[in-house]
Amino acid sequence: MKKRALAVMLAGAMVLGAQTGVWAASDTSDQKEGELTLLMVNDWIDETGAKGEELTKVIKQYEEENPGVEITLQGASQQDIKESFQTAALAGGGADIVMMDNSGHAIDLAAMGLLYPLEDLTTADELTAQYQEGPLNSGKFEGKYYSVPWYMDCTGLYYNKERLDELGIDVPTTWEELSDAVDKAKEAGYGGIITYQSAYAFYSFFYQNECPVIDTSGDVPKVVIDNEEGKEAWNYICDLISKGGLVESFKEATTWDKVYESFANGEATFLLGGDWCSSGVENINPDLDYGIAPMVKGKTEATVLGGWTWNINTNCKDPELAYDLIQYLNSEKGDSLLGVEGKISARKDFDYDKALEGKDKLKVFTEEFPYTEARPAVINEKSIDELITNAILEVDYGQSSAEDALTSLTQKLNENIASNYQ
Amino acid sequence: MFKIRRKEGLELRKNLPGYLLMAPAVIAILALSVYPLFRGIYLSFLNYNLVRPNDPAFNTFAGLQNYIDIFKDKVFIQSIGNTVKWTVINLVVQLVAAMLLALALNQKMKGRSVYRTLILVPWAVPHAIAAMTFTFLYNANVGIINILAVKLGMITESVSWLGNVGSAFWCVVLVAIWKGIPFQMIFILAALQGISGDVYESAEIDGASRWQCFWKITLPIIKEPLAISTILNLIGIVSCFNTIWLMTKGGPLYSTEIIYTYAYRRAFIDHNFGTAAAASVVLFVFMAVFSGVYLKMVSEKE
Repeated sequence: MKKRALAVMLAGAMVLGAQTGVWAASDTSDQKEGELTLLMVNDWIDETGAKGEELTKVIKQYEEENPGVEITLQGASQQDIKESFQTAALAGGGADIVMMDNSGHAIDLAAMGLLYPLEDLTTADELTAQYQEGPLNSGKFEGKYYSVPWYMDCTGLYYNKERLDELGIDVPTTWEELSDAVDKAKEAGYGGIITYQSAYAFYSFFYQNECPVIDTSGDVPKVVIDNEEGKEAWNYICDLISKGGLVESFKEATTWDKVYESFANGEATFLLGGDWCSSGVENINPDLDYGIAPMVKGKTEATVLGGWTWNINTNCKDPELAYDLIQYLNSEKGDSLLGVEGKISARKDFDYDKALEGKDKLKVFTEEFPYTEARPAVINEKSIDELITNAILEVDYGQSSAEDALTSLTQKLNENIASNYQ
Repeated sequence: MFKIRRKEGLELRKNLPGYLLMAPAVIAILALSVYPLFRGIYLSFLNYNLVRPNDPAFNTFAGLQNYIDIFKDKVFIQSIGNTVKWTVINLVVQLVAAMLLALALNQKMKGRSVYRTLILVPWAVPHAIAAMTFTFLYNANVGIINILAVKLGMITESVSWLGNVGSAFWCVVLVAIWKGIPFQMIFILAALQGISGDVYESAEIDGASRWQCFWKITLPIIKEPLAISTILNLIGIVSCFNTIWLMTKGGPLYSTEIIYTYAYRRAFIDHNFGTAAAASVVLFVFMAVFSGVYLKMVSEKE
């Protein structure tokens, strides 16, 4: 009897011990441990600047909340961040997390197998519940999500207020009004439109005419830039160009600095660009009286999406920890990062009004978000962009008619898609 | 025969410390220069489109397909033409200007060391800084060139020098020439200073003109250092990627695209390393041929 009682007691102790072990384990399960490297654009790691200072603060905050985690920041220029990451990741290394422009970089890296698929860390439903559709889809490749959206922006119409008042022009709201406004500005001896030398701003006109440029709804992307809607949009763009609607500086506007200069110094009356142009213009000419309006309307209202995303390296040793850090940076605890420049989080529950307090001019961008569309999510989007830009330049230099340029562009786009998908 | 072999073996053993000291440098050259060269040539014969890693053809032998692809590409053909134009103009102008400057600075004159130092300044300026400075000078809005040209009545409106197909190439060439002259000049000047003044004095006594002195004395004596500096300069000119990429990215409409920028575009924008490697091999052959022809010309004159 005594032996039986002892056996029961021992068994009980063993069960209790095992359970205690489970409890202990569950107690430490929230204790995160590990090392992460984060590759950011240089100004985010420059502690002497506002952005760098804020990032350092948020990272320290995360490390304090998770004493077992150590984060190292790395930097690269905005132009080189993708190549820098790509080269390191191809060699089996690279930063665990990289911030990247949402203009197709993630698609290329996912196609190369260099990004960690998010389906292993979360579900598609959770992502769609948490983030805006456009930014989320910019990192979707072959039905899988690879990028976590961080912040988003879109294109607006900047206008020189003083000049429009002088010429008695209302702020354009439609294609026709924009075209007329450019004519009047030109007649008065002023320049028309400036934008970055890429397809970026021009996508808006196609979207406003319900042409997606490249239809990505099927398994293989289909070029539709030459359909009826596409042709109309293309002809409108070429008409603007042919009558000198783009200022001379557009020809050399291969960096945004030149775009700001042209508008801030009064060469251009209009600027097509995102929220970041505001600070760029004001830095050059703080006295410029300008306004920002939504992009003009065609058949419909539309504008093109921009912004940045977080991406996890396929070589990352602890993707769960990397995802945890991304979630932290994307949470309200990381909103102060976006507050530095009045950026808008891609989170659905983000409070726009709070973020844009004192930045009234930028509120127009949040009004545009409901009809903002991402650029085509195709492999080698940069090549596609280059082909469209070159077609625009051919018309601008008078080397091609609108019709010939579109025919040639369509053929080149089809060849490009074929080389990457068939 | 046996004795010779044995002697060579002994020589190796005797010089072992020397070989060991050389080994790190040799290994570094093999790893950083020779291996990449052969790897690049090998890659040019492979299907290596990075965005298609799941394609069954990926990393398989492609034969000459990559070469066929690039030679079918109009942009590549344009880039070959631009490379030849870029190389010849840069090389000739730099050589002539450097020669004239070196001859001038070899004369006894007041403040010679100051001039010599000042002329070396462009060489010391990093490519990126030079590209950014000139981009600013050429700027259509705030560039001093436009401001002066408009004020002097040479043009009525500001021009985007780097944005126009007709002018972009020449604007970038000018920067490369400005940066390249000091390198060539310093080689020539060093060679000129090695020529004894007695030679010229004897020639003058014999009634030789200045032109004859240059043609019959100076040039033959400095021929070898001139050849070396020209070959080194050629390598610098053909691989002058930074200046072009930072100023125009090969544009507008590929008017400043050289083979180097084309290869970069194929590798890092199109992600096709096979065709990028093929373009690089063509560039390598181009440089080898150019160097060979030049060296042959120099040796024939000898």
